[in-house]
Amino acid sequence: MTINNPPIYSHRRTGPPVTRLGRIGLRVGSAVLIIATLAIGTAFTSRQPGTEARERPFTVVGNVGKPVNARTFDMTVLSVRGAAIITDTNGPHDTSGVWIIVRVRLAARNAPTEVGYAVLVDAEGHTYRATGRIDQMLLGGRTLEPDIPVDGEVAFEVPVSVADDVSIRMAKDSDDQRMDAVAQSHLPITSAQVAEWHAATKPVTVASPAVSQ
Amino acid sequence: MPSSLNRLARKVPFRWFAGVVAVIGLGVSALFHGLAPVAAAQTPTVAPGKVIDAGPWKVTVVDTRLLSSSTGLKTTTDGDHWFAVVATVDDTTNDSREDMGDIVRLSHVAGLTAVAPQVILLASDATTLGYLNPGMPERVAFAWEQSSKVPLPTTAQIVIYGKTLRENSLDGTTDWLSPHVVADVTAPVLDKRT
Amino acid sequence: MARSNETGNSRVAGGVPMNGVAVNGVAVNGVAVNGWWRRNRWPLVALAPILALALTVSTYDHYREYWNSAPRTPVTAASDGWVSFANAEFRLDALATATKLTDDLGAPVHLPAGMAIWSAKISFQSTHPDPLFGCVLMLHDTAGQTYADNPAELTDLGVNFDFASCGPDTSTGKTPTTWTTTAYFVAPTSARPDGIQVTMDGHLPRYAWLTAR
Repeated sequence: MTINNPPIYSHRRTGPPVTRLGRIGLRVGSAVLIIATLAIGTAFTSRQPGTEARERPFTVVGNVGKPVNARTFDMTVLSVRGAAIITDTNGPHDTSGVWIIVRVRLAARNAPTEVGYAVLVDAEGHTYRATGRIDQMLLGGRTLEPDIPVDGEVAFEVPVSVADDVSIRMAKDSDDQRMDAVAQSHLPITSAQVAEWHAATKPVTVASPAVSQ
Repeated sequence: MPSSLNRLARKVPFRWFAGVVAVIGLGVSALFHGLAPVAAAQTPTVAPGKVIDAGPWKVTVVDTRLLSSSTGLKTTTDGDHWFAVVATVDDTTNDSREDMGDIVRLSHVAGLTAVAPQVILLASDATTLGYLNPGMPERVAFAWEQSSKVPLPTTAQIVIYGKTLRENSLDGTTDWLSPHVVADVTAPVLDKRT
Repeated sequence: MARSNETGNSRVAGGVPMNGVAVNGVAVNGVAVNGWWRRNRWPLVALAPILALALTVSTYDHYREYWNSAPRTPVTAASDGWVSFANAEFRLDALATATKLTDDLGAPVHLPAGMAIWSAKISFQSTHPDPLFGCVLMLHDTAGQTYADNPAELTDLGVNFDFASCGPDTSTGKTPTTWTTTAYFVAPTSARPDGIQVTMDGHLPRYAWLTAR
């Protein structure tokens, strides 16, 4: 065994001392590395989706007449009609826009459920909740049973200018649809129909829910 | 650093040095009006009929009135009546809103049993207002039950609140928060009970 | 800090042999390449189990909360047919389709196609002052679907029936120690019910599972 190398007492850098320029270079280099790390880190975190994007609902789109899976229930849009005045036991209800009455079939999927959220959404993303001016028997408190489809009507009022391009959205929870499924179908409404409904003078009654025959 | 400055720097206590810097900072601030008093923000007084920008809503106060019994509202105490602020409210956001109860408060009106309006009615059909839809302004009545034992005022001071669109510090979502006074309206009180 | 080992070589604390000769025969600049692995072998071996333990501890509470939020652990009948659960004993006496339902005027009720009505007769016994308060009865079928009692569909059809309740009738002022109830459910005609699930909030994930005798 030939001993050629001197004993090692430490792993610190050996050799001639670093020059003044070298020391400044080391400090600048450290600063640059720190700034680069912060910059890269900020670039990552600033591109992360915000809370609203992360927790957005899963919108499931389907055609009119086809069941759309909203996780706890299926929604099928059956037909649409409209009016200028709807009426119930409390009297007539007019609107500054137009009434859109959507006939839907709802059926729970695996367990009893309720449908609390129903809105119309227009082409620009404005949402219009189902009206509270009449009792909407299909929404909120009515429990749906699995594979027992229930047909009923839901009434909305929207401005006349958006009524010919709206979709219906329905989901389980009235207040909180984060990360849940939302069923959506585009409504087949023409501007001629909107004009006709807006001009109608006969009040319309919204149908109560009944088990699908 | 030159060696004479070095020696001086070593002799002066740090506190003196910090004090000198602070005085220089204040002086510079004073040069740019940093020490001038700030006027307190004044709440604008608006006449009825003018549109008030109240954050997520645009509010136009119409009048205040004592409601007639045709609304069908029942008071909890016999003999009381309903004192209402009638206003047009327009939802300027993208979605239906149900927080209109935060918009209106009354100032210096005696005999009320609550601070926030107890009922909000839609003027067209006297139904209880649930959601207001975007782009569909509605005339509504914000109502408080008022005791009949107090003399009726001839005018009432209405305080209109608005909210600010900002990030919610708890969960990072953007929402209309921080209710704050945006305007005062003085309106005559009309007796519509008969 | 140098120590001598038995062979007389100087060593740095940590076991790196000096003098350019590695214990296992590989040397680079006087430092053995596999010295790090030797030094850290026990921590490395412990890394996997410790990581697993850390993950378990941090998620255990959440998993337990999730597990306890739904009925998962059935409590079944003893040999005498009675299930003991939540301060009471109960037993499913009969589970069958209900055929003789009438409306308020005594006329027979006509069911929509595809819908069947099931009735479950349950006997209870308990000496507890307030047994089974807030219990929920659900019909289970062989496909794993559940159906709620007192369904809106029966009310829609005008069926004359009493709402089921797990608790005794205390309207007379005395609390009976034995009582029965009949619960009604609607299900599709294709469903094969196989039992009644009785849940109570404070007892989850345990639930009582009643099957017909």
